[in-house]
Amino acid sequence: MASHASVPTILLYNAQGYGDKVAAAFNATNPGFKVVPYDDSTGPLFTKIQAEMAAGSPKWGIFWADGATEFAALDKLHALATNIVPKAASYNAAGMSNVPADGSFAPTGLTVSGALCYDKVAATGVTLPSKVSGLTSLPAGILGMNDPSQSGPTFPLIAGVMAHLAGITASMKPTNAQILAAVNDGENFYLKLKKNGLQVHPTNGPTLGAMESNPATLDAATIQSSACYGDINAKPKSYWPTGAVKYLDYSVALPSNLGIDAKLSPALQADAKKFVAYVLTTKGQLAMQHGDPYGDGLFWPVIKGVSPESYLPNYSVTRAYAINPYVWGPLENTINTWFTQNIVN
Amino acid sequence: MAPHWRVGGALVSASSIRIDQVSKVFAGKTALESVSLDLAPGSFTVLLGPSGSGKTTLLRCLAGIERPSAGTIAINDVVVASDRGVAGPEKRNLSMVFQDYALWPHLTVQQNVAYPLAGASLSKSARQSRVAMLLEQVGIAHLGERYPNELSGGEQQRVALARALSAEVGLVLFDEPLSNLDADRREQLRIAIATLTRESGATAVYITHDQSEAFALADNVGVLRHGRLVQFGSPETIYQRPADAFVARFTGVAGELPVASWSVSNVESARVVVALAGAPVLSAIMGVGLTPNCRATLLVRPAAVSIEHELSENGIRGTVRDTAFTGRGYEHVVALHDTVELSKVFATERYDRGSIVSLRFDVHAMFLMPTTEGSLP
Amino acid sequence: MTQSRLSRPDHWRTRLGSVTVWLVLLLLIIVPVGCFLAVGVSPKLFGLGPQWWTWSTIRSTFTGYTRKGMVDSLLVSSSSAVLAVAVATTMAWLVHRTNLWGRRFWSAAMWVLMLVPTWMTTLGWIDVLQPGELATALGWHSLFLYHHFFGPDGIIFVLTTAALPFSYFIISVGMRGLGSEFEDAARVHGASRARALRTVLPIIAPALLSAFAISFAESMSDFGVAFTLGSGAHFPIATYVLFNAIYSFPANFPVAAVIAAVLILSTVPPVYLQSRVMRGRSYAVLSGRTRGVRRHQFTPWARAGVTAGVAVFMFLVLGLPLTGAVTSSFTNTASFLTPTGVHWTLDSYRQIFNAPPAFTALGGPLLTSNELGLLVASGTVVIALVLAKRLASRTSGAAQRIMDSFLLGSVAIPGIVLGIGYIFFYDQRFITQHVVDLYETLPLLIMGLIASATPGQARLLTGPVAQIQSSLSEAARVHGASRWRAWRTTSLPLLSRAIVWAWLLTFTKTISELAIAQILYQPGHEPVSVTIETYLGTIFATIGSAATVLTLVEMLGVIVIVLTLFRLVTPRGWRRIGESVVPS
Repeated sequence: MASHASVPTILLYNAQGYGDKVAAAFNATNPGFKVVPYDDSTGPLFTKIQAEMAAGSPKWGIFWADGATEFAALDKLHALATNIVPKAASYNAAGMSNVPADGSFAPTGLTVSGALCYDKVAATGVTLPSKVSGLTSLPAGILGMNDPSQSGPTFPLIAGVMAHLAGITASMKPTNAQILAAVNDGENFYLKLKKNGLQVHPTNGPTLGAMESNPATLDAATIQSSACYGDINAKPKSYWPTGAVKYLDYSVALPSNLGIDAKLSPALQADAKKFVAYVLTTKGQLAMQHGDPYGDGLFWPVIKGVSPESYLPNYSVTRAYAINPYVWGPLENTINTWFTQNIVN
Repeated sequence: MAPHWRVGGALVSASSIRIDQVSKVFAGKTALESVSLDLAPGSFTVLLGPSGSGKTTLLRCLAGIERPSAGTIAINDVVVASDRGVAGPEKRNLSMVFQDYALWPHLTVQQNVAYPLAGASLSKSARQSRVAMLLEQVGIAHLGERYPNELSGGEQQRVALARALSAEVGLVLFDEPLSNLDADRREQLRIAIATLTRESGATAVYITHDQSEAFALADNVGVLRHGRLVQFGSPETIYQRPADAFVARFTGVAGELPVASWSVSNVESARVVVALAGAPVLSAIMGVGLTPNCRATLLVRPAAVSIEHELSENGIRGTVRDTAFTGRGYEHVVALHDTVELSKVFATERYDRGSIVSLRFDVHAMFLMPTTEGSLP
Repeated sequence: MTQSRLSRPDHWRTRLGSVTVWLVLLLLIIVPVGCFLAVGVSPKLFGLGPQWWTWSTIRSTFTGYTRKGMVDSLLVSSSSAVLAVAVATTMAWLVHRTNLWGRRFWSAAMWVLMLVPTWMTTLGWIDVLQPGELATALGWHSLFLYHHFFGPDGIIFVLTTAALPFSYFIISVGMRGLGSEFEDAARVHGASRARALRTVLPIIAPALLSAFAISFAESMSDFGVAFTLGSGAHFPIATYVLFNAIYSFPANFPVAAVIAAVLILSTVPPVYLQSRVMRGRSYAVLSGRTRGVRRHQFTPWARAGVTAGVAVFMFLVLGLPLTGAVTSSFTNTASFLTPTGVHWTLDSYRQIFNAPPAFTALGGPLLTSNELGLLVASGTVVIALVLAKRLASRTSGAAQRIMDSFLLGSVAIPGIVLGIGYIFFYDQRFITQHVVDLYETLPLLIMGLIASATPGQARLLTGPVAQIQSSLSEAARVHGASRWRAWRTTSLPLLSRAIVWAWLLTFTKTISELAIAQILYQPGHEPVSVTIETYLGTIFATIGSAATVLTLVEMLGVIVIVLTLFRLVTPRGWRRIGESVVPS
């Protein structure tokens, strides 16, 4: 662990664009210890955490990333400190619906995976569906999405779509047979999309790039809301003036979460919880928004009284639902592998 | 008289060398086996042997590049290699001329020659004049500014010779320095080596596989075979009294004659009488290791054979197979019968191919040797 | 009789040297990578599964998708290596043995090509071929080319251009050892090309095989292509499958370990072939007995034609992708060509020093990377020289072959495997608590980068080291030089140019290295490659392009400065050596 002077430090494994700025804002008000960000994508960070756990001497202190499945998996391994959600946090309803029962990770903001982003010019004359199931009837070759093995927000979307098509909700406790059936139906759905020319690009950026390019090689894609809003609303100049976002009858709530290493000393755990508490204040939420104004900062706050960026619609418009990370997390590897082998290649 | 240069303030004296029971084994293969040799200060010794005889290994052990597996080497009575360890080459006060010249391509001729002087407390001008004088002596004074790759092979080896002589060391080693040169350059450089090395006063050890080179240069010749020292002595001794058939052959024979029977004619002068198969009786010198009734071969030096004008009764008849003009005269190949030939048979006049001649033999250059061993590798 | 001060017997020195060398290799490469590979058969070792020993991971890896990835990799890497060797041989012959125009320039271009990592090349190509990018602006847009680029053809092309310089420099060294045999044989035997080839092939075969082996290993382990062309290629290669296994959820380390083992073992056949052909022969050619080379003289027309051909080729492999990156760095629109035309701007260059929120400015990371480059290059060159000396020595048969195979196998270790292996080993509780806690510190990152650079550099330096005949340093010793002075005055000058270039190459490779840096960098000290990576794939990709261009320019600046210094401080004779192989 990097040590600065005599102040204790906690390493923040940070996949969020605003992480550095929030940590800096927090450090400015907390001279007692320091949160040191280690920035990378969710995948590499989560891999590092697993490798460190395998080696037996974890260095990470706090993990901040999109999606609940990684956190649920760590929780199952008892790698997360529990009850880190501060009692004082005034979660709004959307936020509250993403808080796990044991409080082992804390949702800090919401984006939506499965927003239908499209290019108004390219999609001229195309009737966009209003339901997820309607995506299969789009003209061939105009729809795209991300590769779940490279893009963090994409597995929750696939899992959510599978659950949604089978009628499984987050609050239900489905049987194995029901899950299996849902996966099977979901796979057929994606195979149908593939047959209809589904394009898979690695992450949000390249998928957006394919819609923004001139000429566009892609008309529409189901990706993460914040990425679309960022490109459309960037200042001083929009990167995608012809871009637009539409929500279907279902999308997946993608909370960004904070988790704390269970192996951290009690003192440091207490310190880490102070950081979590800070993020869940109005100040913290605003620091997140300002920390990455055209990317991850375009989230729906989870704290009462904090508004999202003006150009974000009301959260209810998104028809976003949480998936149960404890149900779908364990299936991530299998489903992603299936997807890589059958849809990507 | 050679000028005496003082290096580091003291006149460097020639080294005495004592090689005692030195062996060298490379990965299970014996390259040198118990070689012992004493070399007097200022002597010029040539180690002669075919490739694989161990001569290079011995030279490299002496130089300190190779470490003997057993035995002791002392230079000037100071042990430089024993089972207790070795002294590095730089501590042995020697220099060396390499077969591949080993000139440093990044240094000019002058810099190459000046390299060994680095340790000497010479002023810059003294160093420069020493280098200039050496280049003058080896005949390449005009090439001092050049780089080695701008020189011919002969010129490069002259630089190497100048470099070896520049620090006035006690021992100069030569590793087949002439083998990469063509014939006339070879001769010139051989003379330069012979004269300049002797003028320097240093002890010299020179290895070669060429007997004429050995005889031309050496005070003493050591003949090596299969890692052993077979004979050590003056060139004359080696030539006139070869220790065995191998030495005789390696130092030059015209041919070998099959022996029907032989007997000692004079014990004191080691003379034998030899009856050749279907031919007259000849006199010869009794070789080392000859025991009564053992099978023997008659080895004939080229110098022992001459062609008689007339077909005489005493001579042996033969047919001229080949004749080669050498400038001084003619060298002939003469067949005695189907299987036996003598080569390098010299005559001042030419005998045409196919002519029948009579050969006369000189007892002093014919050796009767046991046939058991000694074939050339 | 007195006793001279005798030094310790040589075999002690040798043995101590061997022990030190292997100890360094153990700590840098063998143990960390071994830890990682071990989980392929023993997941329980690191708590990654219930079994202490199992074949099941290996069995499952050799089926379906992962097997396809490995087979694809073998095909792609063999093709790339063969192509690279063929093109490199042609280029080396043209540059070193003919009167081609601009020979120094082409050699320099090869160096630049060597310095550009595959991820930069690939991104450059995407900046050319993607719809709306350079090719569209120039009116050459072709979806056909674009889709071929994102497929086996593109992968082979990029890997070939990446392996080309390695092959070129190894073969160049071999070419210099070749007298005029080729020309002579061709002349004497007239039309019989086959016989000319038969004369020359044995002489140059070691260099060709060495080039093939290293090109193959580099291609097998390449991370940049997996990272950039990756899934888009719809053609899984082993490194991409491995990359997916490691970065999937949850990480599948055992499968990754098996794939890594296959990558490493795939280098055995080339090494075996090479040792069979060389059979202990060394290709030492830089002796104290030097000879000049004769160049084939093209007729003026042929000369112009061949030069133009080389120019077009080099533009395709180097010029075009660089142009792609450069042009996109001077825009800040989603694609280079917009409906309202091309909008040139310096915005990206301004923003790279005044980064948008959530991004890092270039300054700090570039400084960090330069520090890393300095330390890693210096450390690598020292270790690689020691290893090269061992590889080039003619006496130690078996040990030399083991070292050779080991180093080539190590070239095939993907950086990501090395990085995770470092965590597995250096972050073990026993080590962090009782030995030293290095994980996520600068020293461990430096070690990892040295470990990744050393095998390739050692093999590259072996050529120049083997060229120096032992008699040159022996001559120094017998003429009074100590071991150190002999090295300093003979080997060092002869190797100086190769050392400088090895240093520069490691320096630049370190700056552009991404896989290890991403896993092992010190918190708060982000290297530049990690910074650039965060820009790519976002709306700020053009800032990433600008950062890439600036980083390349900075690296070239360092190269120019170092070479100028080399020219100024070294004696003329030093620079004569190897002039035909590396530019000055």
